[in-house]
Amino acid sequence: MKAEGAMPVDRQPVDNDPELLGLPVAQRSDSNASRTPVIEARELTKVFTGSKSIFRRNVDDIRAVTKVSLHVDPGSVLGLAGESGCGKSVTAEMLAKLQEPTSGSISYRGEDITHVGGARLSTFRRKVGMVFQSPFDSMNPRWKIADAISEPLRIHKVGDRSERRSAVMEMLERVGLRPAEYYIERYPHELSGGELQRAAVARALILGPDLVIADEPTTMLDVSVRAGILNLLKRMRDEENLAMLFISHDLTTLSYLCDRVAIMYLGRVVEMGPAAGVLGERLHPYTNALAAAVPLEDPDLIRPPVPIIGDLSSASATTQGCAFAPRCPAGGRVCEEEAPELLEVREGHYVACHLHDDSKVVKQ
Amino acid sequence: MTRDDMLRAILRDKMAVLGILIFAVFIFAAIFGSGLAPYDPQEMTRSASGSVAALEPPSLAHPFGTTNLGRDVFSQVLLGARTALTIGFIAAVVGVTIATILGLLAGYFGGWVDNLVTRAVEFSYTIPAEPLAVIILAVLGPSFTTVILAISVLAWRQPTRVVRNQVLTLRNRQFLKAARVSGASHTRILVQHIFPLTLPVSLVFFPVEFGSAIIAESVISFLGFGDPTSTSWGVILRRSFQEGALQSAWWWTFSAGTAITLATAALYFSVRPLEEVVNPRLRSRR
Repeated sequence: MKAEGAMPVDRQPVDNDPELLGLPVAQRSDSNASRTPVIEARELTKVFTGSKSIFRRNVDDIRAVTKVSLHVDPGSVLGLAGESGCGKSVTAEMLAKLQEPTSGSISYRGEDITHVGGARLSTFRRKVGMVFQSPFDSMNPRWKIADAISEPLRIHKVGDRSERRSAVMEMLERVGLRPAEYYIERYPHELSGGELQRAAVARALILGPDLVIADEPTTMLDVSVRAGILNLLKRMRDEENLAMLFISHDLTTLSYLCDRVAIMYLGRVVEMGPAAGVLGERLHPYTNALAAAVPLEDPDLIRPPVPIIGDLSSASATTQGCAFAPRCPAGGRVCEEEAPELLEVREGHYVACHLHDDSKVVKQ
Repeated sequence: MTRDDMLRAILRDKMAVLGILIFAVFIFAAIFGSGLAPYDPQEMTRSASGSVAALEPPSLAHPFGTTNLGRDVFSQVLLGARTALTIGFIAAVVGVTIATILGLLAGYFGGWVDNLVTRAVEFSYTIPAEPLAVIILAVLGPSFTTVILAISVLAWRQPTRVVRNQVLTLRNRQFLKAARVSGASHTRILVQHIFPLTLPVSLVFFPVEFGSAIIAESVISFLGFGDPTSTSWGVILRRSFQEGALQSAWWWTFSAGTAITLATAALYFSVRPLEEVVNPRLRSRR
């Protein structure tokens, strides 16, 4: 194995010592945590360019994400919610540097990484882990679980074969795949969805990241298994002081795990702020409608439905007004004419809605 | 599909096992043919009376009979196996290797790479294979190498398309995204993740291209554009045709023709169950 930095001779090598593997040791104290966000997006926009050709049917541009600005603070969890197709995953993939933004910028710990490549991108990759939606598709079907989990270590040339193996063993134990000796030899098809998702979490954490992006990690799991994964992510956040971007369309999940929540509709952030504030006050009519769709624990409790009218507008349409206006129960004329800005209405609580803009009159 | 799955699929299919057994005989003949052949294929054999043993029907001395010049057809067919299998093997390796590389690149990178490869495949389908081979040999002159070149110049087009399509089904899989988030390079993703998953497709095409190459070599030799110094099944057919042996000496034509048919049929039979695994639409309802 190539030199990984000289091993201190006066120290007894311990198998699971993360420092020995060249893994960064997570800072467990908040005292010196700076105010700089771990990751910050400024006016992130993604347009999928359509084709205009005389040979084919014209395809309009799709505005998947429009001017999304958000940030994740060290050790905190930002929840991103919205219905299917609202741009949650595209936002996540841009932040994970899987897709290039059309415009806008991304910075990691204050450093602009929008267009980095090479060694600096590699450094960023080491610090960011990702958990995907489908547990059954997140591992190469031909690879043993252990090989999938240790792949990031091999890519970044961390440790030698036996060190990597013990790192994988330790990680398997930590994500609750015990006994590790059993799981280390398994192939993906031999595991259940919950077990696979735990393995995916293990892979995301093996390099000791300080940001984890979780794209609907519990959506495809049975309800009984969901809580296990959520608790695992919560425990990992506490133990590693992880920052996390957690995507879900399930508000209950978000309220359980997140410090702050951003609600997206048709590629825009419509409401963002502290989880309790956003999910409690529900200032935006869309947030309110989403919350009304959450099943209640008490079957006898009757709750008036919050109607949203019509269908999701097309992402290719260029509306000049509020994107939610066609479906909004409270909308007025100004909503169809003018797009609302994201305004801070309480301390740290932002809403893009004319109802909460004192300078606008929605209805007489 | 793992290697075990492939093996099991083959062993379940009786025709596949038969195909492999028949082809094993041809491989044996190709390797040891020169030692096993009772005569030199160019030798003018003589009968007990001392005259040239021309156009003799099959007998113990000449199992496949003799040619108009008294040459032993059995020895010629035996030595022809080496030519057919060598050229077929090399052409299949060249064709499938090029196809795998082009298919991987086109499917994975998309964009202009894909456009270029796809257009090249489409263009190559407009070219008739045998006339192109004849032109290449006419320009470069017939030899072992140029015959292989002429055959494999189009052998990549079908597998390229299929490998590319297979890659397209893989490229948006989550485990590839996971690998990229972990920092895997494109090369790493292609070599370690995608290639092993498309390998079965390439392996299925290997025998298919092998068989096509054997037929192509025979056609080229039969038409007289092959290497004139080689002992080939196509050359045997050409001589027998020129001598009008179809009417007078059936064994001469029959033995070389049977060799070509058996060898290619054996290859196709052996790969049939794999094709069914790769392309479920071929599966017969059982």
